[in-house]
Amino acid sequence: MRIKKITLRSSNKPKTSIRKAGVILFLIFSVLIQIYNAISTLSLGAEIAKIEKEKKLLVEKNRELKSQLVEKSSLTKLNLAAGEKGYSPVQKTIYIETGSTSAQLLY
Amino acid sequence: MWRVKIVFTIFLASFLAVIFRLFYWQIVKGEELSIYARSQQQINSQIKAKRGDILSADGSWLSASMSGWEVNLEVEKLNMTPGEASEIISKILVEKRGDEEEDKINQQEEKERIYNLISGGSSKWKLLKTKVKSEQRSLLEESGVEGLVYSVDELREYPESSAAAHLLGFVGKDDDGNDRGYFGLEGYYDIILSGKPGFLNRERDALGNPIASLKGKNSEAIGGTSLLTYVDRGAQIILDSKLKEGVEKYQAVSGIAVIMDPKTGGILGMSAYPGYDPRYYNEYESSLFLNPIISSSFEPGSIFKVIVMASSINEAAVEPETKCDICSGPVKVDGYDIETWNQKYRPESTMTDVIVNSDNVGMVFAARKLGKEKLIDYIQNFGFGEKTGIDLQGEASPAIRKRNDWKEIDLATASFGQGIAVTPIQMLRAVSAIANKGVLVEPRVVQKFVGEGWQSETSPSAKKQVISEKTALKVISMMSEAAERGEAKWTYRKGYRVAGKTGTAQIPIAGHYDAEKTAASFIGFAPWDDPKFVMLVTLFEPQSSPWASETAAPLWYDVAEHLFVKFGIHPDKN
Repeated sequence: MRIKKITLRSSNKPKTSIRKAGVILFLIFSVLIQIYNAISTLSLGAEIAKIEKEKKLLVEKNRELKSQLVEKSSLTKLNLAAGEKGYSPVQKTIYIETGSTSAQLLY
Repeated sequence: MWRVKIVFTIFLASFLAVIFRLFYWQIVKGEELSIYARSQQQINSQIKAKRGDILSADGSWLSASMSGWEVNLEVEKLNMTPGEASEIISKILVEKRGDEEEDKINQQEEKERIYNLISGGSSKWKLLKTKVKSEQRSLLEESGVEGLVYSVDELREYPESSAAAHLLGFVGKDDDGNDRGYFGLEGYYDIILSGKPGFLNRERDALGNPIASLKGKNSEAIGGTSLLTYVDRGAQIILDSKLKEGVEKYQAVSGIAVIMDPKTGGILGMSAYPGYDPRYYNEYESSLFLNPIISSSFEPGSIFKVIVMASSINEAAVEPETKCDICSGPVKVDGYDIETWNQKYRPESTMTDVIVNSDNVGMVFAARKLGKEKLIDYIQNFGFGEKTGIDLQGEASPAIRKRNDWKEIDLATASFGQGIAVTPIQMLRAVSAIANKGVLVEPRVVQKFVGEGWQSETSPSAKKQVISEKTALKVISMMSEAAERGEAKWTYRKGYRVAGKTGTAQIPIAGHYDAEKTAASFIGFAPWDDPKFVMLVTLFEPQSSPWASETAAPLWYDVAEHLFVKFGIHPDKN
């Protein structure tokens, strides 16, 4: 009967484990970074949407105010409103001298 | 063994099925799905630029861009019959104009239009109206009609209604459905007023929020530039109202009136009647959109005499004291008899008398002294026969007869403003040169461009010395005497130092002059020693009287009374 020579090979188990752990840790870290980026991007996107909505509301409010200003500064509408309240345009302009009796009465 | 083969076959078949399916979705349907995915993920939209405003000299709005709404209806969500909905919606969308009858007709037409829209076609969405005001939107929201959806739109408001309509023009649509200005300032400065649209191109997530990334091309819209004009809002409104009153009072077919600052060329007011309301331009005949002040010509009549006289004096051909030696009766030219307007002849009239009495024979004398060649030169120097360059869309200029075609009779008739065609703006500009010490300026409506946080003056008006200051002063003196002692003396306002001239021109119709139809004009400025304004008023075919002294002149003074106060022109103490 032949006796097989059994030789024991020195094992690299500890090094392999460290490498495996490193790779796994790196993978976990990468995944976490990706998740973090994705969440940041999402929340930034939501922030942008919120700011844009606020901007849109402010722009609309601004334009509303402008519409009111344009409406209320209309001379034509002012004339109409004055007419309705019984005011009428000046029919005649009289000039008086500063030293005159009429001016003294007025001032 | 056979079990292994079966399992292997099943796995192979499944694998092949997956491959084929992948091929179908990736290759066959790939492009379609890619487009669909992009439409879900990407936002591509044009950002409309806000149109610039048009402002009067004091910064008030003549034409303003305001927020408006586009109203759409999702037909499936409508909670009432089309008839009921159109009744409610039309009452809100139709603006009341103050005329009960007109409002009723407009509302009925709108109701029918909306009814036909809602009940016709198979489309789920119906565009009911664009350019709806915010107040109208609020009323629609409270009306109880469901299914209405609103999106932002821009509308153009003209707060002074139809005032300065010909000067402003209006904003309509081009062939592509985009806003575009037509006529007046809206047309001339359309590109400047329009600005430049922006665009938005970015990706969005499943919730519709934008994805903050470097991808995507965005460009902000560049708002249109606003225009600050020389127009005096108060003067413009008075001009419009007085012109309308005048046309009606003197039963004229139409009328024009225009006011200018003779020093800067700035147009302070411009009015033509009949006019139109730029808010409802689509309800008017398109012939009304043309501005007759810049695009229609007429024979000016006696108001042209001051130009011919100024030319003659400038050439030292005559002086104000020169006596006319042919003024004792009519003068024959090329077989035609040239007569005075009232058959009155004053021998030994001076040139001043000729202007005061509007003597046609005296003008023939002055024109002959000047000579045909020099007269044509001065007509051209005063800007006739070419456009003034005013910044309004639609200016035209009638051609002046060619030099070689002038006969003796043409020289004679041109001396009193017949047989020569001019536009009102050309006539006003020429007389303003007399008021401005002989300097001809280019008329201009816009004085500044105004943007967000900046403003810039428009390029200065071109100026040209056409007659000497000395000549101008002589003619001003003659015109002030004409205003005070001429045929319109009954309407003269003492003390305001008005220099002016009446003109009653026969209108040529089908190759001959109609004695009944006239163009009655008064042109003048005040105060003559330092003119604040020059104004032309013309009434076409007044029926109450053909004479300018009885129609255009009193109308001119009616407007001028307000301008005297506005510009601080006080009457002389004496």
